[in-house]
Amino acid sequence: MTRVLTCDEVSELAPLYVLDALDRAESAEVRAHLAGCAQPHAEFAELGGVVPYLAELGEEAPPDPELRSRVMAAILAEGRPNAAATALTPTGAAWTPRPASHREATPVSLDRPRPRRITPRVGWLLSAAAVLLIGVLGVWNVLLQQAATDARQRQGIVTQALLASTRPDSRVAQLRGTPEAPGSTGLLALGPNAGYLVVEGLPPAPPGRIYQAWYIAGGTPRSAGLVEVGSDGLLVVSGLDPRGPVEQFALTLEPAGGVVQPTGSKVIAGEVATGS
Amino acid sequence: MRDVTQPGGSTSGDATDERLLELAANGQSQALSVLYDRHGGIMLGLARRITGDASLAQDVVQDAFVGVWRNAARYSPDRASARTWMLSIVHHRAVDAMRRRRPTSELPEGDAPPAAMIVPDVWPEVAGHLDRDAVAHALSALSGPQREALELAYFSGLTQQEIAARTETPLGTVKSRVRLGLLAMRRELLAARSGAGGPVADRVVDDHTGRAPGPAADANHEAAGS
Repeated sequence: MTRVLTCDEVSELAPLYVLDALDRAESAEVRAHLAGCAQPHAEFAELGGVVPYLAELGEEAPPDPELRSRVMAAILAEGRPNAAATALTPTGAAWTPRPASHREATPVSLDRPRPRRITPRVGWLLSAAAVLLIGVLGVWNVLLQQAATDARQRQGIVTQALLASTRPDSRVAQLRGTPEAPGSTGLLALGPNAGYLVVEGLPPAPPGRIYQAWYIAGGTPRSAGLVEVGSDGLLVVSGLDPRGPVEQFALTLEPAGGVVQPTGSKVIAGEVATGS
Repeated sequence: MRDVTQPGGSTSGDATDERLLELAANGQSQALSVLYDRHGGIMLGLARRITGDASLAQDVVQDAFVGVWRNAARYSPDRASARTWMLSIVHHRAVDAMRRRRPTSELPEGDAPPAAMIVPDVWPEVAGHLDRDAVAHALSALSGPQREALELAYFSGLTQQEIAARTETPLGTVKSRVRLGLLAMRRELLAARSGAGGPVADRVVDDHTGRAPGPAADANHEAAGS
C-alpha cells in the first residue's frame, strides 16, 4: 500500500522525516522516492544537519553502573556479529586477507614471518568483515543516479568537469588504467562546489559485479559510491563530494551492492594534485 | 582502514569514537564499553526525555547499544560522527518504543529496518565542538509555536498527525512550523559558527551543490532497528 511520492511531496515531508516524526509507512515512502530520484533534494542535508544539535540539547543522565553492566552483558550475549560473513576472495595480490574470525584465530607465533603487506600507498588492508551492502539504499545509490546516461547531459557534465579541472582551487587527478583495464583513462576534478569524474575505456562490469569509487587519504579508502559504466565504456559522474582529504582516487570492481571496504583490485587510479 | 586486529588493539581512552566503532566492527566488544562511558549519559538522557519513563529508557539504551554492536561494520565515518550515529539509533528506538507503548524487545518487526533518522553531519566537526549554550541560544531564536512544534517533533515521539491533534493546529501548519524552526536554527547555528571563523562556510556551499543524503541515511538505516 505504499504510495509513490512526487518530489514536491517528499520535499514537504523532509523536515518531519529528519526528525523521525513520520510513521513507518510514510518514512518508507520517502526513502523509496529518494532512492530512485535524480533530484538532489538538498533540503534533507540542510534540515538534517540541525538534528545532531537537537540531540545534544538533552540533559545527560548521571552514570548508571547497573545499566552499563546490563548493556555489556547483552552485547556479550549477542556474540560476534557477522561471524559467518563471506570472506571475499581478493581478485588481486595486493593485500593479505585476515582470518575470517578474529576471536577464534590461533595466536600468531612471533617467529613466523607475517604475511607481507603492500604499503598503504598502493594497497590497503582487507577487513575480516567485508560486509556486503546488497539492497541497502546508501550513498552508493545516490551516485548511481548521477552517473549520466543521457548523451546531452553527459556532454554538459564533461564540459563542467573540464572547466573544474582548470580551476586553481580544484583537486584534480589524472587516472590511468591498471592491468585490469589497460586502455582506460580518466579525469577526476573536485572543484570547491562540485566534483566530477569522467572515465573512458572501462570494460562493462560482469554480472553480479559493479564498479565502486574510492577516495583515499593516508592510506585509508572511503567509498565515493557505486558507478555504472555506459555500454560505450564511458563513465560520466557529477555530484562527487568527498568531504575530506583526497590523495588518491581509484575504482575497483566489487560485488553488486558495494562493500564497506575495497576487496577488488584497482581498475583505474590516480594521484590527486592541487592547483595548476 | 588501519590494522584493527593487532593483538592488544587499543581500546584505550584516547581512541576516537570512530576508531572504537571500527574496533567493535572487528569483534572487540570492549570498545563499546568505552563508547558507553563517553556517550551513554546523553543517550540515556535523550531516551528518558522522549519516553518519560526511566525504566523504558534503560531498555531503549540497552537495545540501542546492541544495535550499535550488530551494525558497527555498517557505520561509515564519511556520513556522520559516531556520536551522531549512536544518538540517532537511540532516538529512533525511543520514538519507536513510545509509538508502541511497550518495551522495545517486543517490536513486531524484529530486525526489519525502521525509519532511521541518520542524517549526515553537514558539519562533521559537530562532534566534540558542540556548545550546548549556543544550541540553546539558537533554539531561543525561534518563535514559540515553532519551538513547540520542533520539540514535539523531535522529543516527544509523536507523529505529525499526533502533533497536530495535540496542538490543535492543522497538519500543514505543523509541517510549516517544523520546517521554519529547523531553518531558523540552522541560520542561527551557522551565524554563530561562521563568526568563529570555522570551516562552516564551505559546508554551506556544499549544501547547495545538492547531494541527497536521504538514501545515504539508509546506509545506517538498518542499524537503528536491528
